[in-house]
Amino acid sequence: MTEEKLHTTDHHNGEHAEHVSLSAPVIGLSFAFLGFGLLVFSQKNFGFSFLLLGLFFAAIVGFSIYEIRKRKAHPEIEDVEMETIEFKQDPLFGFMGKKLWIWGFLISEVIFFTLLIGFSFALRLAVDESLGFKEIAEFCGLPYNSELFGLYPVGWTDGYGHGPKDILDIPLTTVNTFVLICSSYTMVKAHEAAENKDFLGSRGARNWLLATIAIGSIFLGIQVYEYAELINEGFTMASGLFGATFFLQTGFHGAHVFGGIVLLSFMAYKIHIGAMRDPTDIEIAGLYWHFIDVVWIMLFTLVYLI
Amino acid sequence: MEEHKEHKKKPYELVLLVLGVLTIIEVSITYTSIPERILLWILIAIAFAKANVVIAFYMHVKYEPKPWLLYTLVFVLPFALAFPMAFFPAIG
Repeated sequence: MTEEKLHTTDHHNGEHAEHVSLSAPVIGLSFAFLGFGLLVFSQKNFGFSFLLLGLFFAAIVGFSIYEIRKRKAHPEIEDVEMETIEFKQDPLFGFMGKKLWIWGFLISEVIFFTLLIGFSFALRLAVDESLGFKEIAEFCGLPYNSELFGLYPVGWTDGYGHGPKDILDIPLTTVNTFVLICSSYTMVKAHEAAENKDFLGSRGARNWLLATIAIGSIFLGIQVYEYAELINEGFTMASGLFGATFFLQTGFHGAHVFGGIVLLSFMAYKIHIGAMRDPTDIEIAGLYWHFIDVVWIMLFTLVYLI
Repeated sequence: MEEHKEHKKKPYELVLLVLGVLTIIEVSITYTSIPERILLWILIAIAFAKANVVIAFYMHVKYEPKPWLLYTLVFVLPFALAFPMAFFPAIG
């Protein structure tokens, strides 16, 4: 596929993105039904939850039928797409383009990390009196699990009275945070270079991706060093709720960074051999990488600084 | 066709600088004598500001067509929040 044709494809996607004004809210609303359906289900209000879950399925099925009918009525749209990217032949999802897929994936990641970080922080609020949640809960009439509080009278520590500021190396992690932020910058420069059709130049997409891989590896290296130091000092997953949630949250984040490095290495290789020339591919990888950065920004504050 | 492709230079360097400065501010105020229960909210506010800057500029949400913003913020956020809330009875 020539560069000119890819350029046209990109424009074509852009035009379609402008037309998703109806479909995007329908999908979003249906997922809101799913979320609230699950929430109501957890409260054991089964009748209402089944109604909401039914609305979710009805919206998805109705929307799919609508799109298939629209596709059949306008075959000329499909003809153009069939010449471009293979998966766009799909009559149901073809119109969405690649970016909607990655956003769908990122939504699932948002849910995962919101749950992980939110649950850990809720535990901390429940056992750490210094943050003042007990007074807020009493003032607002919210339930406060005093039983859990009683289980951990030492607060948010490793069980021996050492809190986050005593155990964690804040200056080192501050440097590491800035390292990851820098990797986001090199990632976005890779996308910019790809948009300018500079793939193999000294300031081309391949080299910016290699810089991102290198900086991401430095981040992981510092994290491994931090883990080794902490474990040597006796701070492990068994060191109370603090230890368990610390390694769980930062470990899952580190695994995501590792996954990102593997993905970017694969892409840099494909660019090098000339098998990848669509800027959207690099943008998609970038969205994932920046999302990892956003997660770390929240983790750095909630796990290390507070 | 080409004029469609031309766009203003995006302020990626400035964004990097802002994120760096916010990180320094964030870390610095943890060494002050502000009570933890107040510090908590200040730090969370700064973290959200940093996250929003990354999402807006590096993830290009600022430059996307409006329906994407609507889709992301109005519908996805309640879903993302409702899901973890379903598990909260296990704590409180």
